[in-house]
Amino acid sequence: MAHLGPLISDLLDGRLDPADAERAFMHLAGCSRCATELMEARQVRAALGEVARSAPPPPDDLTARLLSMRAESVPVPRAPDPFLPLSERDRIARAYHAPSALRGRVDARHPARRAVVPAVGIGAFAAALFALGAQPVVSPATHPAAALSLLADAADASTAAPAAAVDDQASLRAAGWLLPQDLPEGWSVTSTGWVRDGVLEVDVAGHGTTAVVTEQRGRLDPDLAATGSVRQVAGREVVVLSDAPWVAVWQAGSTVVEVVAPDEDQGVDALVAAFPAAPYDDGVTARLVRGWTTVAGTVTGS
Amino acid sequence: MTQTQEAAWTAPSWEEIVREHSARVYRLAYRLTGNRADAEDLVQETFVRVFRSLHTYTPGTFEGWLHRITTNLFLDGARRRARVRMELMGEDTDRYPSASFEETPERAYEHLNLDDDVQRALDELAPEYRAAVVLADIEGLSYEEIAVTLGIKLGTVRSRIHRARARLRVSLAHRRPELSTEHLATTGAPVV
Repeated sequence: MAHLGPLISDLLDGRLDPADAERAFMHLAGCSRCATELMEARQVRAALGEVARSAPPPPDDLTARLLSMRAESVPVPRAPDPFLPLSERDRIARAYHAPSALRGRVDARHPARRAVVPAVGIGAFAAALFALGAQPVVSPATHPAAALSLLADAADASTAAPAAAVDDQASLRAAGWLLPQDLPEGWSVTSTGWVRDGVLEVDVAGHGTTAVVTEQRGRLDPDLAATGSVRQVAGREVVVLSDAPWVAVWQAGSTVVEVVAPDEDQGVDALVAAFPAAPYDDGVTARLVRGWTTVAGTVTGS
Repeated sequence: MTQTQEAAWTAPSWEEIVREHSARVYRLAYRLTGNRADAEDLVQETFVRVFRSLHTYTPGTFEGWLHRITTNLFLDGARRRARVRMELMGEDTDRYPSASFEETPERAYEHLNLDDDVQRALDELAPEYRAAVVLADIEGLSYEEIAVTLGIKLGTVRSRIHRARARLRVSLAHRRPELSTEHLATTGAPVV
């Protein structure tokens, strides 16, 4: 019989059946090399077993830090519909009380909007709503590197967030975020999560590729049309910022949607078409509603 | 009572999860990374992942799940580091026996006893081998559990554990007299 080799570990871990163990013992009786090896392997195993009980204790603040992840997680962006029942909002809050962890961050967020509860006259209140309803101008990054790293993160299954449950998507939709009503054939959502406060990322996979859809509240920077080319994709105007990777942004009501894909083939048009599009509404009513949403979200939400 | 327990499984609270498992995860992370700072980062990363995926978790072995997340995050990180090192050092990397974590100044404080000797020997193993032997001989997982945790075949588990132990035998050779008298005697290792 040749030397035992890996059978030594098997023997040590009790993984040999009686007949094989018997043969191994016979060999050991006449082979000092294997006998020594077995003895040494056993010592190593014993040393590891000894060490198992003596790891340094976790630092005191580690547990506290882990516990605080809940408290520090991202506040749910305000629901755009002020008439959404409270219970529904709470449900969304719970479903998305996820850490700011889409990119692995666990730092705190500042609850800036808490400061804005105007309690003066109706006129002042309306004016305040009007002011609040003016949404920030959104200018997506135009550098291809940003798009590429976004894609790389989404394609890396080990770092991408796990697929959100279906009801999560339902609550997102209820909160006014745009999710494709029905993804075109061959596409599926791989994960959904907050990149940062108020920025939703939806990763989709299909046609042998990955695309990243990012949404945020606001008004698309009008200057952007100058830097990219405005094209008609699926019957709507989108600003194409880059061809490879393919980056397109468009306004969908009060939301700016950005799609990043490796290139324009592979059914990306169909993907874009699955999202609704509408011009930004800067009318008084729309602004009042958005302002109200912000206040209502401040009072009842966070 | 048992009836209601079966009927109503409720997800553990975040606090329960953290209190119950953080020490164990830290221990595993420490053995894998070989130093406290990296271990802490790994634990934090693991819990971020747990937090994020909790809604997809169904009753099963929570510990197995944690083992899997911790080990895979560690291996991902080790591979990333190895890639970076490869780019920095070119072909020279082949001469190094493993892609283990860098020596850091704080390591100097940590090399004091058997524990540290073992840890240093573990650090010299390539991450894949280290993970297998740590799960087997420190965490006490079965070969089957390790196969699932690392997503590798049983035969691969077997050969990794064997080769890791063979390598550790060499690294720990200088401690042998001590090992056989002091520790082996007190741990009561199973006699084959």
